[in-house]
Amino acid sequence: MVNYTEEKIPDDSKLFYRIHQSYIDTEESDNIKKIKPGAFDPCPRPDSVELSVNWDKYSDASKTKVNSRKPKKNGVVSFVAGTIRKLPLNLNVKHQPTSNRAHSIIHDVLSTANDPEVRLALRKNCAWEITI
Amino acid sequence: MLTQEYTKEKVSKHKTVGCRSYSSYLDNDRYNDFIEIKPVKSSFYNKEIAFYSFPKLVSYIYQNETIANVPKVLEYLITTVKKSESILFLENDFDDNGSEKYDFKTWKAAVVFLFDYADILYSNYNTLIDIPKIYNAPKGSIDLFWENEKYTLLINIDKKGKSATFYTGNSKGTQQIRGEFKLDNHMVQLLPFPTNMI
Repeated sequence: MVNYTEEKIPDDSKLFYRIHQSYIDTEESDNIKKIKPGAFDPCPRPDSVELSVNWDKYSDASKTKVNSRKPKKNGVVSFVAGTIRKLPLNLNVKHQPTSNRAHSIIHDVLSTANDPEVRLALRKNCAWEITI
Repeated sequence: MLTQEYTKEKVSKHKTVGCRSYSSYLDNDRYNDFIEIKPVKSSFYNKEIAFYSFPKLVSYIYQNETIANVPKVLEYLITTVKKSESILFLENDFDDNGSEKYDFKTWKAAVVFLFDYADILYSNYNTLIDIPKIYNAPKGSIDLFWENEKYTLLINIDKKGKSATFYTGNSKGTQQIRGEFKLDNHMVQLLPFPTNMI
């Protein structure tokens, strides 16, 4: 297995994140309002306080979608690293390569994992790359 | 028109669910929402006020279980609650990312909280709350979500159906509040009022 070096993610980088169709409100027509706040789960794994994303230096929206378990059921949104860092929420962005060199995290999410404020901020500051 | 003197004794005999100026309920034409409406005179305010006693109730039933008896005036909330029943049909791993299915008790706690919240705001503050969306949320929790041109309010009910966290802010970005409370022990007057009526 290749050990990739951790790099600094510039502020103008894009970070890709999958949105599953179960978190889409089909009654809403607005592109952002249709995303349920629950789509942004800051700790999809037990005891983790990270949101996994893919850095655009080594990935793109299409790859992010294709690498999901069921690509047809997923869309992809993006965040801008600098925008996330500037939010008054103690969030940061870090490259954390695994076997996926693009793997990065939005971390230091506030202690309450379900924190509605964090989820709403992520929702407000994302943009669709591939809609469902 | 019946007018009687307002006394603590008379009020305490009624299951009073609301109290506001007499003209207010006439204007809103809500006679039919109550089995009995008694106009009474307040010696304190020196004017007639109305005590809304014994509201007509509408039962909200899910799979033969009465989830809540809702004052008729709040019946408009039932549609969004019925839509949320679909959350209970989500299976384990419904998002292909390992999420677990939702417990009936979590959903019921969220729904009962919503009706209670609406009831207290209406009966004590004469305010009808806006209709929220009820969404599946992370880790078996459920969201109550209000989003409109004036404000956003997200209340998250935890998987155990015991606690809630919330965040609210106005659309101008000049006001925000975040907090948490226990579903079975909180003061509604310390929570946001999700309404455009005020």
